[in-house]
Amino acid sequence: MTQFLGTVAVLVWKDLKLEFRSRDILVSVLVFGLLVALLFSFALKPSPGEGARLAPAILWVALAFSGTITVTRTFVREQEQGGLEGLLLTPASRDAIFLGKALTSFLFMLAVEAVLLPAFSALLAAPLLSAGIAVTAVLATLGFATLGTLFSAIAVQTRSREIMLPVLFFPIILPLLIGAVESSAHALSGGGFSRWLPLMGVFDALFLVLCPWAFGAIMEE
Amino acid sequence: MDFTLLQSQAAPENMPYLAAAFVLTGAVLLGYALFMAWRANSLAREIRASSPSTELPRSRE
Amino acid sequence: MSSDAVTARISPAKPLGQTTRWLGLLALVLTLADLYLIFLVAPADAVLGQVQRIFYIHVPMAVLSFLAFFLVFVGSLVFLMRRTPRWDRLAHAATEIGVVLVTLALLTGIIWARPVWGVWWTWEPRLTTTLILWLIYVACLMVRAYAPSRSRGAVYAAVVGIIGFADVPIVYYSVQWWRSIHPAPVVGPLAEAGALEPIMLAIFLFSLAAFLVVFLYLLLQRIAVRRLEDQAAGVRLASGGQASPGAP
Repeated sequence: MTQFLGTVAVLVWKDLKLEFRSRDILVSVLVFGLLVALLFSFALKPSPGEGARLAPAILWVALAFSGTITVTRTFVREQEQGGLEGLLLTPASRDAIFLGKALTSFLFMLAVEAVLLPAFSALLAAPLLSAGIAVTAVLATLGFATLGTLFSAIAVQTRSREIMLPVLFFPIILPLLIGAVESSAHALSGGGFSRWLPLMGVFDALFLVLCPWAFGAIMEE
Repeated sequence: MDFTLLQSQAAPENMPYLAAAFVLTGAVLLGYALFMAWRANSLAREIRASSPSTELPRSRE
Repeated sequence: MSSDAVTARISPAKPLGQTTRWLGLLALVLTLADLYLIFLVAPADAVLGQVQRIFYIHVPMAVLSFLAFFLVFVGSLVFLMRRTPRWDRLAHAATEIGVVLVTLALLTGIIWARPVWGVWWTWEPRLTTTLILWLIYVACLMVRAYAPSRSRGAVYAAVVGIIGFADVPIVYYSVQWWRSIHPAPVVGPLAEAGALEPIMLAIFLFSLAAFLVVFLYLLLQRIAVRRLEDQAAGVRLASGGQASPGAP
């Protein structure tokens, strides 16, 4: 068990170091997330009082898009230079490789959210910095990173992979996204923790079990 | 339930909707079945055509 | 030797097999009887009028699409464990027919909603769930088609089939909480007693049985076609990648 966690830690550390040197994922995803917020502001033209009402929707659409880019980039970077074949040749188990990738995406997305949440609360004039929203973000990001990693592992193999990931990913992730939007709205209206959080927890737990197994099946080929 | 609503719902202009639903369903299901039957035949022909020549006399004569 | 085995398994004149042909005939007879019952025996609904007759085809197709997706789940699961093409054929055929049925259930629902609810579409839980289901299984067919090889496509589709099915209850609950005009179930364990006239219930059950036979026929036919597709792919491979005249 400790050896397994050690392997996961090494894999995560490798990706983090790569990111510290290149900074290509975090910076591009961050800029993209802000752009989505900007586009929404122009499209919806929120009046001063409306920011809080629209904030959950804008926040989660922006995070869903930027999250999709994060999981794709994390995988494509490995794929482009034949790194994945290399990883599969090492004694690291398929589960460790999967959890390493998922954890990396999870950390990247949390880092992006840590910047976007304060930025959005200023831009949209909505108090997005609360415990309720923080827990929502962690639960949503966990499920997003887990399923996203599995589906990007499939999507990078297919033709027209840029479209394949969202087509596969969004219908299945939808309950998590609804939960995140509703739970954030609940927190914004001063309600604290919502009943959506347990549902999101169930979603995360289910796919944390299923996805590593499915990843192993894909990589057997 | 209010009476006018009841009237409008039972009105004859609903018939085109009814017809549309049944025609659409029938066309799609029948079309699917016929397409698959056609595909089965064309695949079977292809497999026969590209099977080794030793098989051919039996099926041709 | 191996090509002997290939030619032995198909009968060129009747590639579908005897059982499937009889099932097809039965499906045709039952469908005609069903149409007779729906249009000439069933009474018009007191509130919804003639258009209510859509019910007899709309609900069976929705129910059978669930059966199809359950078969996708079973086929995918066993395929991933045993890796035998037989189970992948089942999963593939069930996915395709499930998508056809769920598409028709959605379209007949849309056509029914317009005169009855006054709108083509509403974001009501069951409609939303069904739309999401449609998206999941269309994606499942797409990933198979876009995979680098047939064998990989089978594995990817199996993964989506399992993950998608596991997701369905969560989708249903979340959408239920998110919004709640669809009529309450009139048949099945959740039905209120007496919601459906006995004659209507009897015709509905007949219709369900007729659609079940149609479903089984289409499923067996699709599996047979898929088997032929596999053989044709094998033949093309054996002839050194040369495109044969009949190849699409």
